[in-house]
Amino acid sequence: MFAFIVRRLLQFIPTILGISLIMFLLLNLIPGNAALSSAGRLELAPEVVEQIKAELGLDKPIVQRYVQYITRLAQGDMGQSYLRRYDVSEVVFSRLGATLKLAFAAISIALLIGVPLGFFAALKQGTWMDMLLTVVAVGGVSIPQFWLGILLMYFFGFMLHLLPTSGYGNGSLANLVLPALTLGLGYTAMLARITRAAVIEVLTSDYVRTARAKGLSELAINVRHVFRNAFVLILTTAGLLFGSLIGQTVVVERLFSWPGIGSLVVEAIFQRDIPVAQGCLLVIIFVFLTVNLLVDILYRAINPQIDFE
Amino acid sequence: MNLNMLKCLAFAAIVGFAGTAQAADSGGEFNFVAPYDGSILSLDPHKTSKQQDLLVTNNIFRSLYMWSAEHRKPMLELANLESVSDDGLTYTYKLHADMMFHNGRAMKASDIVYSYERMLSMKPVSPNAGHIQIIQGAKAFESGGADHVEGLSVLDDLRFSITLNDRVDPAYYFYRPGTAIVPQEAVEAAGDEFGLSPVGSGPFKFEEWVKGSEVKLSKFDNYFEAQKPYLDKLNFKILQEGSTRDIAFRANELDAILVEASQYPQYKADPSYSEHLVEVAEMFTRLISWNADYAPLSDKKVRQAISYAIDEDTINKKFLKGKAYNPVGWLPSTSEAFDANGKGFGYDVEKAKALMAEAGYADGFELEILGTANKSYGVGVAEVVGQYLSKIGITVTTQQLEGGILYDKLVAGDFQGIIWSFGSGVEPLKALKRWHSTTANDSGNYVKYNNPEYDALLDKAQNTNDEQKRVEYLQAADRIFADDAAVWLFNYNKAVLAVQPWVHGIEPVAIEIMYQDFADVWVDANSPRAK
Repeated sequence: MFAFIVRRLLQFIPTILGISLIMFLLLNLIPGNAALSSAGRLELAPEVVEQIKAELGLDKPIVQRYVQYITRLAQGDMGQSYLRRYDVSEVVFSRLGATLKLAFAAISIALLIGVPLGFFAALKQGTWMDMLLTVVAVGGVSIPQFWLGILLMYFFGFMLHLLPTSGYGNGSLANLVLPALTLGLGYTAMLARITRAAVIEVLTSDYVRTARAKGLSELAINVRHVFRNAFVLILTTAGLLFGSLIGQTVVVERLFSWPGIGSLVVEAIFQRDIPVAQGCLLVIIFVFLTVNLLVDILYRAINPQIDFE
Repeated sequence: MNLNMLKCLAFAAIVGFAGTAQAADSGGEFNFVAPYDGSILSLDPHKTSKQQDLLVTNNIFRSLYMWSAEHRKPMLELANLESVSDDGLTYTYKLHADMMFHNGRAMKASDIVYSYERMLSMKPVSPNAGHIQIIQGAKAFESGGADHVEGLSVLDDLRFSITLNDRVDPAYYFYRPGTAIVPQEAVEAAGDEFGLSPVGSGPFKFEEWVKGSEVKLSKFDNYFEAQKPYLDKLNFKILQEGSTRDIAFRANELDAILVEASQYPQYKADPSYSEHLVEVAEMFTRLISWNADYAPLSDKKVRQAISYAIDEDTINKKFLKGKAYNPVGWLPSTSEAFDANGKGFGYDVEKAKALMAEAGYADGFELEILGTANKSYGVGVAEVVGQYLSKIGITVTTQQLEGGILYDKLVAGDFQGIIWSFGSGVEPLKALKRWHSTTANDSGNYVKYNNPEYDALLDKAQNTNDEQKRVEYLQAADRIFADDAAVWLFNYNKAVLAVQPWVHGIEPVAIEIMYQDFADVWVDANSPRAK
């Protein structure tokens, strides 16, 4: 196990290097003037623009800039924000916590609601309850987050005055509920569908039939055999969903004024604040890789038969 | 139309100033918004020129002058003017004796010099350094040719003088929030992180910045104006989505919000809020820039025909829901040189057709208009313009581009028409100089406008000491520019704030309605956040 973790961690390095090269090229090839954007206004004299370009190092060839970037990155230096004029790490890590919190809350909602619903639907396969849950799940996947967020905000914030309509509120639970629900409900529906499919597959397997033949109770079969085996697929999906969640919080973050990394990366790209965009994407990729590694480790905990070698 | 505009302004002024006539209540908390795109980037006023940042720093810091909504021009804030030299170049000031920074130190004349020199010596250059470059020796200092700015002198602890390169009114340069005065020791102690924990001399002290979410300020007890500020706490919530702001405001979580064009009719029609709208013609003029290098557009008759063929009044009323003022020239109605008797082209398709025929384009031509996705001055408007122009044979195609790309095209002259919004204030001569033939095509005069008569009028305005004559020259120049139709003048932005009934002292600030001076704002006992 230890050797596996070390090997996977070492694999991070070429992965991050490869992605950083693609990311650097793409971000630096976007049309638009980073120097002007860094000055924050239009209509600067051309010589001032050139001066800013030189001060930001934008007048150097792209290869030289990339080598410089990677060298600094290896030393733990993500550079300085063009616009904020302080360290990128300060900018990025000040926003990462809020996104992780939102993503954890959303995936927790998805797991706590979606998995039991999917399980129940599978057990009641073909009944009206299964049909109803399927319709609700498909509806849940289809609702645009923006629209759902506004509805929740209007109902719970404006009509009932139960929860704050938006904002971070120093990280209070009340402020987390609506954005987490908005983000989590779509994933709840997705997990419910996947759980249903996984459970139905397990239910038709030989070992479940054998367990029944042995006279085990339905509860014991469901807990010991069905859920445990179906959970490998559910966990894989939840792990992948969590990774993608980190990069897909932008709509909810913007709508609820949630200070996360998703809205920051989009904002940085539009503002041509390339160092911040690079920093955000790098952190998102790192979180994605780490979550995948954790999921692989958890496989082993759930099913010791899985051989990492 | 102009009468209506003046009525609106008068109404806005009444709404804005009504509160200050009553005895103000002290205490309470105020939740305002930072509504523009993007997070707050820095609270160091010298390192940013973003409105989103400066609307906050405007209340933490003070500049030598401040914009006065009442006088519609900048007024002295930190000091009194002691004298102006005979040649009109050297201004001598004396700081108010009781002016304090938030760290407890009294402001000195040397702070003014330090602040201005800091802006000029920063690497990368301060985006606001241009305002300081009117001081004699500023450019030499900036380029490293001098170790101090020749035109800045400390006379004693409170007195200082500023010598300018040209006879210009320094108020229009030193009122900018980006030229605020900062305390040297606090800046040097914080280094690059001064923008994360700013120390100013404004009515509110910095408390906390939750990045991407809000900035919290608290009352500065030693603020130099007696009994001000009234509020104990001031919070700026970063809310970029109009619908989020709308719901939060109606849920009474916010005390005032910026109203978008799509929301404007609902607020106007809602009796709970219609009495509490603060409206002003902001100093931005929306336009379509025509590229004079594109053969059909090089002909004045064609450009005039376009102006006759488009009914901007209907577009402003229907498409922008009335949240705009019809234009009569480049200068907006809040400019001191606005021509209240001016008239636009009006809507006259027959006249437009006749002009097209005279110019040899009776069969029309193809025209591409570029724009951003902005709802008030983007490709959506260009599509409507295209419908009007099809009546005189012009086939319009539109292309939506991201702002940075659009700007590159504008500077490079790589366009036929671009719809956008440009600043058209504050100092009218400076605003009109954008179109002076000596202004570089890639730093303002993008349409390569060149009319010697226009240039001569601006030069006369610059050289006269007679204030009335100056305004007359400026108005005459603006009429010539409008008649040449080098751009299609679309509207002046009508900025609107919806304000809760318990709020008093919000003002129609024409330079940018979000630049509220919260030293004057207070909330009465009906506020859910009173005391």
